[in-house]
Amino acid sequence: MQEEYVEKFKLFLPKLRRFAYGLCGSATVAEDLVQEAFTRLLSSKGSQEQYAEQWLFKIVRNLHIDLIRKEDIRDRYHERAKEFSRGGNDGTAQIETLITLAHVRDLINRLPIEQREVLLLVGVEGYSYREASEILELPIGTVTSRLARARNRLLGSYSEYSAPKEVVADGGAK
Amino acid sequence: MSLHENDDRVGKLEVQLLCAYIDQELDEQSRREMDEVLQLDPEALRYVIQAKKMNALTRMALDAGLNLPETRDAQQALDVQLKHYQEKATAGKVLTRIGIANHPYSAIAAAIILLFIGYQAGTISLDYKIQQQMLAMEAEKMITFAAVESERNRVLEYLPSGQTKIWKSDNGFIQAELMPIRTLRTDNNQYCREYKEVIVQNEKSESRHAVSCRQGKEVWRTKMILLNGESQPM
Repeated sequence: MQEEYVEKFKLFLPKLRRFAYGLCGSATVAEDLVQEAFTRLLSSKGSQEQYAEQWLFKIVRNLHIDLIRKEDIRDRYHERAKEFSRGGNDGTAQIETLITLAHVRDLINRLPIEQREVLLLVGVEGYSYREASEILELPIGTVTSRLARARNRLLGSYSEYSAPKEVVADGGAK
Repeated sequence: MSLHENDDRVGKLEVQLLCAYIDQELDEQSRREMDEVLQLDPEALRYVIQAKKMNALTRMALDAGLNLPETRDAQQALDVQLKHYQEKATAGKVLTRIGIANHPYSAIAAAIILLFIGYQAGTISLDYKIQQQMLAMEAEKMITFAAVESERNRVLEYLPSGQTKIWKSDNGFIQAELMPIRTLRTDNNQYCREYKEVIVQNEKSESRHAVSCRQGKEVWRTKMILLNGESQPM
């Protein structure tokens, strides 16, 4: 039974890791969340066999919520979250791309957590609204309204960032 | 696009309806109707395109973030090794690059540039379906590269040195030959493996000879690329 779990798990490990990273903003913390979720899956035996994938996303999400609720971890968490937007200064020819990607990570990190988790599940990992509502244990209506707000906010702030910095004057009208 | 978080509408359409369209939650009939309505509503169409772009961009940004060197110290250590290899390398024959400029990363850069060209060329004037197709292709590419990485992780974790694993992605988009050459152990008791790989995609092949170090179970990060170039027989 455990080997089956392992095989299934391998298939969606990259998605789960990316989701965890999107939530917490640190590759190290993300790895801890994923491993803890997997450990719980192995020790839970049986009942969620058919739903392992969604179950794991749910556990990762709940573990992350526990993490941000813990007062003593909060500072460390924010410190780690700074890693998230780092990474635009390596001096390669791809620097603009790196800066853009770092900026996008920063914008994701600034979304309220309840918007971030919906956007990561639906927009990034491609879950349906129904699946996301099951993972997050929310009504579908809440998923859709949070998703709309998350998109508005993200697109609004991204367009501010990517708007041209100089405006070309056409004719000098004042 | 000056958008507020609580805006209910963009152009003439409800944001939640646009989202349902973007996320493929509409049935066939409604989707077709939306296709037509969107052609008459540039602002709403722009929202749809930007949101799809943002989905792809976010995925890339997260994948790229997971591949960043973890600390400044690690980066400096890599720079020292890089210099060492550059001194030894014969000009023109051996390319040496640090891990951050590795294969998935270049793919991400290429994908993002394509996206920018696509979108900045004029979100409305370009044929919408072509853009959608492009996004789907980019998304598929990203998934495939993630699959190669995941397969490489398994090979480095389990395959004995000298053996070759031939792997093909489910969609047939990419084929890879992966061979660990030897296992090394650093002063910090970290395991690293030297490996060779040939990745064939769209009839183009790319070979790589590199060193990757173990971060955890089935998690390996390429630290150094010793040779990158045209395909050579293993």
